[in-house]
Amino acid sequence: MTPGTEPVTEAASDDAALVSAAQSGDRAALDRLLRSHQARIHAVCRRITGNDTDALDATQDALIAIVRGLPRFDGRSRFSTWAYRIATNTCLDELRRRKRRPDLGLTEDLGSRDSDLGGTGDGSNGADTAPDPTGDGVAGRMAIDVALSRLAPEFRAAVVLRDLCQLDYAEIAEVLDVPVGTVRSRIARGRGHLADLLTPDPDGNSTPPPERRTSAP
Amino acid sequence: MSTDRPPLDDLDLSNLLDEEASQEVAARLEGDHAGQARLDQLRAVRDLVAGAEVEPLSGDVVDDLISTALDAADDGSSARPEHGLAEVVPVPLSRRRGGVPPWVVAAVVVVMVGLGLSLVWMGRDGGDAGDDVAFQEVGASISADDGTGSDGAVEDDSRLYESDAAASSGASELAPEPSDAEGGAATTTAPSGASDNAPTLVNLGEFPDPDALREHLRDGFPAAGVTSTLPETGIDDDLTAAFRCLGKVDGLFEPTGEPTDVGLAIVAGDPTVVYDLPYRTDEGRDTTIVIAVDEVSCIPVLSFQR
Repeated sequence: MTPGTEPVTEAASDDAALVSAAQSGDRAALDRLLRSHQARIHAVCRRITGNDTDALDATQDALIAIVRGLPRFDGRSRFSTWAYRIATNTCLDELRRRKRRPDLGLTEDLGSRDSDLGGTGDGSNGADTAPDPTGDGVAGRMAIDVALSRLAPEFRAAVVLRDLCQLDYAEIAEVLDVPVGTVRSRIARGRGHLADLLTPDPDGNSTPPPERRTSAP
Repeated sequence: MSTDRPPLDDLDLSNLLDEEASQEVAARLEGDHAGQARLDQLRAVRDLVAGAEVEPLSGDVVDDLISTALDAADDGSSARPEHGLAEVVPVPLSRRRGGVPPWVVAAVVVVMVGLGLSLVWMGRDGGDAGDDVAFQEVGASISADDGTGSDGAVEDDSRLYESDAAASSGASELAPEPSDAEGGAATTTAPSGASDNAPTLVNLGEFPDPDALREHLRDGFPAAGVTSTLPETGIDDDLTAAFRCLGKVDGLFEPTGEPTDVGLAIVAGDPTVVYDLPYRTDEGRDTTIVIAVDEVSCIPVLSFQR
């Protein structure tokens, strides 16, 4: 179970009580509310920003924004959805501010990154050295980091909100402030691109074949 | 009856994965081996994203994050955390580097072109004493762009921009963006001839003092203005004033390039122009310098690195 994962109904019930208390000025309740969500907020930020430093900055900014915005939270959506919305927008703002691709903290060149994606690029020793992107551990995390970093932030956010946060399409639409149809498209295209990047073709390369089927834009 | 149906694409398969697809799509998967293989790939990706854990933050870092957020609730401002957010560092005034940003030079050139067109137009219609007066005012406005003129000259300069731009097909203009043409602009575009990447003048709002402005800009320059119009500064052409002050800013600091953002704020009741500029520290680190200057005097009221 990933950090912050809880049964939805129980967590939502706890959140409602904590939100109410926090809005009434209960600092301990606010503290507990933030602590119960910081891990997942940080995880979202880590996946969207693609590096630890930006993720930490975005997490801090998101927590501050949540605290400041809590008096205006009206409870029409789940607190977690609202918090994800703030976190996601904070992360996208962070990326726009930095105006650069996520720094993965890796010093390898592209060829090495391709290796991390499951293919070496030369096909010579990929079978021996390529990490299994579907496996657990550091290699798998690096692979998904690298692959996610190659998605446009909006697509990355949609995939992360769906597959990491397990929000439904309507909730993601609310978080990203886009129509549900756009959410479907972004998730599908994002997953498709990740699959192309992470799945070695029969020759051991991770580069997608030219005729791979993709959804219409 | 034709049984040819298009193969399932990633959208169909992704919907299937999330149980959002129709029964018809699910039925089509039955005989689509390529689709089934692709679905397995998408499922593996989904599981990978869902299962790739993020290393949790240490307890100390979490405590710091939470306490900083709670402090923000207490005092209405975000205290500076100690774990990697951008630093706010006072920047000393530096010697003049020499040289003016190209987009300012281009703006001056546009003014001069406008002046030339005006002279041609006046000469064609036959000059009189009134034309001579107009010529002198135009000359003063060019001095203002050079950083030495008065605010009155700025007003004249603005008028020339608007009239001559309209008459010279493609010359720059200071008109609001089209979508804001009716109710006033949230932002004002720089002259198009100045630079392909000329920044937009953003309304940053009102602040009681420079520290409040610093806090507002600490983490970045806002992408959009706070209101539908620029603040009332009492100056007829804020954009030209911003150009004028940039010449002085460039002389006082050593930005490494053109401003990436320019904004207008009211600080302690005074109109203030704010620039985000690329900057290189003495240690050779590329960063951003934020400089706010009084719009009338161009004297800096705030500067820090981000």
